Amino acid sequence: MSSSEQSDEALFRHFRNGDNGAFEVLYQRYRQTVYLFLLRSCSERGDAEEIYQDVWSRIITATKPFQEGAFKAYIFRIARNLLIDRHRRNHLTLVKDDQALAEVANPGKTLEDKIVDEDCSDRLKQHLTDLPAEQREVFLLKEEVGLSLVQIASMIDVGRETVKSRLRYALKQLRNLLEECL
Amino acid sequence: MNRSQKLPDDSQLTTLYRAGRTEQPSEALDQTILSEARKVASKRRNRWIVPLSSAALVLLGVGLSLPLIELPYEPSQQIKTPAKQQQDSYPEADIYLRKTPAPAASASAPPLPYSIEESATGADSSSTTKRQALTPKMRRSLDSASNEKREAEIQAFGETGTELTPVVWLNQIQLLIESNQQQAAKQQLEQFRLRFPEYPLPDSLELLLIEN
Repeated sequence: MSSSEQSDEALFRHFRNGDNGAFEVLYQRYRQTVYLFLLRSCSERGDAEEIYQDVWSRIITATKPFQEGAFKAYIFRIARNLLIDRHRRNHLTLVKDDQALAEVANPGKTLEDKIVDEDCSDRLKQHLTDLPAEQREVFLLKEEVGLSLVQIASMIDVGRETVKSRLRYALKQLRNLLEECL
Repeated sequence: MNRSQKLPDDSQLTTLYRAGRTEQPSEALDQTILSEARKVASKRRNRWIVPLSSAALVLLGVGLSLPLIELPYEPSQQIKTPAKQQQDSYPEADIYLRKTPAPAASASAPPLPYSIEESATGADSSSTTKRQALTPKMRRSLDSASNEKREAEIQAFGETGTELTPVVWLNQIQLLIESNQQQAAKQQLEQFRLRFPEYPLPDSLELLLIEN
């Protein structure tokens, strides 16, 4: 079996035994996803890149083996924890409940006022940034990382219905803001 | 309430989102991370070298020293002086002498190292002449006395048949030489040579044997 066909956990195991090639395959698998997840979660590219490097450093120095299927959740759990730490350091307030989410979710700008020349993708990225952190997080874990409902609920340690509720709010806001593009 | 295990979905938003996935980490960022991974992988590859080489060294050391450790201490393996080596070169002779039961002082006994009569008086021709002049009764009496002397001599030698080793015997010969009993010493030496033809002799005794 070639390296590219091996599971994440097998590749990580090889890397732990000193196989640098296994790490390169693993890195290529998650390179863009992790980067985009962080980039969409941070307002500053510099912050995203700094956290990106931290995430991989932690993976590189991790010593415990992973159970089958656990690597993906592990890497994004690290990314998420580092994001939370960064938000705390920057005195950013995380939205705590759905009521608050509904209040913060309104960007208060029309599509034309905000970004007239941007194409729809760029506008989506921008609106993602404007979303409350918890809605954005759920949206990115689904769209960027590809986690299931159960995986997201487990990772962010909330109920499944809460996950669905946050995602519904996020989708509704984005659809409203991008109506002309959809 | 919707208890579905499916996440809310908006395919149009999903398509729009995926169309905008164009950003990538910079080459410099990639290299920084891959370089760190290479260093760690290299360390992990080499982590067995030190313990393995240490273990190999220990095994080598044990392997080399084990034969030395297992050798039991034997006095015979002490460093020997040339003289001692010479004396010890006939251990089988000593063993034979120690183990052989003491023979009776009879005809079956090995020849005595030397005759007391001869050593005391010297084996000169005058004594033979005197003996021939004696009557048979007197001669038997003399022989009887001579046998008693021989037995006494055997006792004096510490049961020669069982105890006298080549080393002791040679020492006795040496003593005879030192006490100017050259003739007796020579006879003893000849007896010794008959008994231990291969036993190496000290130079002084070798010369005595060659003389005449």
